[in-house]
Amino acid sequence: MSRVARVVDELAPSGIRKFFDIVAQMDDVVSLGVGEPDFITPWRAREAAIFSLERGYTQYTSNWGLIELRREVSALLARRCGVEYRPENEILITVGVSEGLDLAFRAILNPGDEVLIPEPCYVSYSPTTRLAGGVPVTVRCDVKDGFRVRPEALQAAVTQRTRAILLNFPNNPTGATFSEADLELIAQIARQQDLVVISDEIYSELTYDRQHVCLASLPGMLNRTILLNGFSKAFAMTGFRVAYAAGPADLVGAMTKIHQYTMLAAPITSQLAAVEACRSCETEMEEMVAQYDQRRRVIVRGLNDLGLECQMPAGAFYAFPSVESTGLGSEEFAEQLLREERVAVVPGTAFGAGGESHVRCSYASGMEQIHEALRRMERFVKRLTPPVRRIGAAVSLGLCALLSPSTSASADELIQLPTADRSTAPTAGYRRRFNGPNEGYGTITLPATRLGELLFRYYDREDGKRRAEIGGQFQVLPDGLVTPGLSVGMWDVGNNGPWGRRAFLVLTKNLTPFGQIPIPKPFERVQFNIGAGTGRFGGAFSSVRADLPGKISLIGEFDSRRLNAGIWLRPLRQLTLKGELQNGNPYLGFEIRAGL
Amino acid sequence: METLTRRVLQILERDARTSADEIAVRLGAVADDVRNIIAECERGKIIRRYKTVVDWERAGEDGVLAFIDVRVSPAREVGFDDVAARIYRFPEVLAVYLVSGGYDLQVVIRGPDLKEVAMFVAEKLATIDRVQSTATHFLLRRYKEDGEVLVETPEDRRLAVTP
Repeated sequence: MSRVARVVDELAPSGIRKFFDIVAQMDDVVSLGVGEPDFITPWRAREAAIFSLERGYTQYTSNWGLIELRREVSALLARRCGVEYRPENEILITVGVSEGLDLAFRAILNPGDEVLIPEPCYVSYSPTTRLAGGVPVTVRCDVKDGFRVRPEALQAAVTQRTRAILLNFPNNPTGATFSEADLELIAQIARQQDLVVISDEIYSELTYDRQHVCLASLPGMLNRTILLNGFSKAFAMTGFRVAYAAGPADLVGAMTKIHQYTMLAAPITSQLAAVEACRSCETEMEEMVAQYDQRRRVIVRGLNDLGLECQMPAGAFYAFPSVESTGLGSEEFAEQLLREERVAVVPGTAFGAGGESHVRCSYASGMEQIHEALRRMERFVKRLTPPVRRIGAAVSLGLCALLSPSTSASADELIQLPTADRSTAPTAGYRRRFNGPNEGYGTITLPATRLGELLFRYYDREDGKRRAEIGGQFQVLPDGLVTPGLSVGMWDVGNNGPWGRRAFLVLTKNLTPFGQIPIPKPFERVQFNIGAGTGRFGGAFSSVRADLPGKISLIGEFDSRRLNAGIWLRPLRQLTLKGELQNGNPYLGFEIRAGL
Repeated sequence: METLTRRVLQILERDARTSADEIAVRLGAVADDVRNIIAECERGKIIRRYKTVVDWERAGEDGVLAFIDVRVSPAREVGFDDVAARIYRFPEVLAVYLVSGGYDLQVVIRGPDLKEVAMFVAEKLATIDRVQSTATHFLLRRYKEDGEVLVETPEDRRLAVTP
């Protein structure tokens, strides 16, 4: 028989432990796996702690916590959340929100009572419920709802035994938060079913683009909400372990009863530092929030550019992108990324249902580290072509070969030559010759897996005939810093024998700002392509594309038969206007790209 | 000043090479708006210039920096301005401030060594009409400059993965 209590024995080990162990053996890890601020506690608060030690403040405090601190917390909550709590008996200073959570569950749960917990969520909610004798009932939140719990789902999970709802907003790991209207729908359920809501609002100050709405500020909620908050995230004071619970006197009184027997009091040094934080560190806190806000936009843009779809988090400091496009599960992705590129992220599955296919990327890291992590992730994602997907791409190319109509398309003067520059979103474009004969062509390009693309073209030829062309190309090697990219493709393949005249092979060299080869001024990006092909791309060909600041690109193409040049303008991310000289003939056109 | 303009300037003050596109992403703004703000600030001399912070010591260049307190008798109509002008025109002079307190002008000078700077003060500054006295303080160690602590390397003490 185990010497360990059954309830403890049965607790699942933390899902992130494994990652911690791998990371511990590695150097040079860029970690996006950290759930705490990278800022150091504001000096005023640290200095207050030092001064308190010098003056000999080393005793127990009241079980409730220092009355000065409870008064400051009361004032802070009134000022920033618009809720009034009496410092004497409605606020308890705890050792972190973790303790507050434990106290709250123990104070309200009888054995077998159920707690509704929306997932994905912080790792400790279910275990703490169990340790308090309760039964966690998780309610899955979906990416399509922006990871906000649906009130119907919550309602449907209510039973006779339901005692409480646990809310965490802004949310770790998804960054989702609630508007007042969202909260009101949840509050209605709590009022109708007479439930207590334990509201973990530790990330409340880290709310962007809008004001955080405190659940207790909603009508009728003050008396049934246990608000948990603290100093760790807003004031970067995680190691001080100081937080607070605020709520109706009976519940907070019950929590204090447990606290006095189990914890006695939060450390006085930390409490005095927290007093100073409330009094004089709000400006610094707001500056930290402004920094998180900037990093948030950078990381979300970066992840989306990599094809890892990510919603803009409304709060906290976590981005929660989907890794579905890579074909890997969240744990596989996190582990391979760590081993191959030494970037630590936390798999979404560590946070429960709804976290599959997602990873949590903390942006509580300096801007340079975020950029470095994104660069490494780019290399990783580009390299990732699971065998299954390769076969998929080959099959789609083969299908193109079989399905393409046997017509002869003659628009030989096509910008642009094949490159290894894959489109990541569907595009549709049209070009028209504006002198001479009535001639033009439309193009639709669809991404086919991450490294391939399918192409459809339709021509109005100068001889009045209409033709369609279909094809695809597939990137064999991504264009890395050192290695050139390699891509193969076939266009109009059915035209002259199945594998004959329209196949091509391209080598590309992409000079990016992160590459070793400096980019000549004033260009922002230069890409060279060289290739060889048969049929329309007969012989050797080469092209260069250079991006200037101001969203202008210059294109030049050359092969044995022709010389093309073009200038492209991108007034919007989704729109490109094209002016081109193809074999001496002027064309005007545009291209529209779907999505961001 | 508008918040966006202030934010753009703060980012550039920290790293002048941050591109307008990057700034736009960080601030959730339109890149062209950022470019316009920067151009406007350059025109209006709010952005005076873009400079590089060089650690000359690390580069092995042993120049010295001195702060000189200068007491000046003010003159009718011009106050301290004419004396300040005589001083700031010397290329050795990096900065001249009019300050309150026990002296009037604070002058910052860079020179190749202590002797050269001392000679410059004795020959060029102290001899200017209406300069009553000078006191020269040589810089010995930089602890913090432009808001950045130079003597401590920030270290990330956090555990690499935490929930």
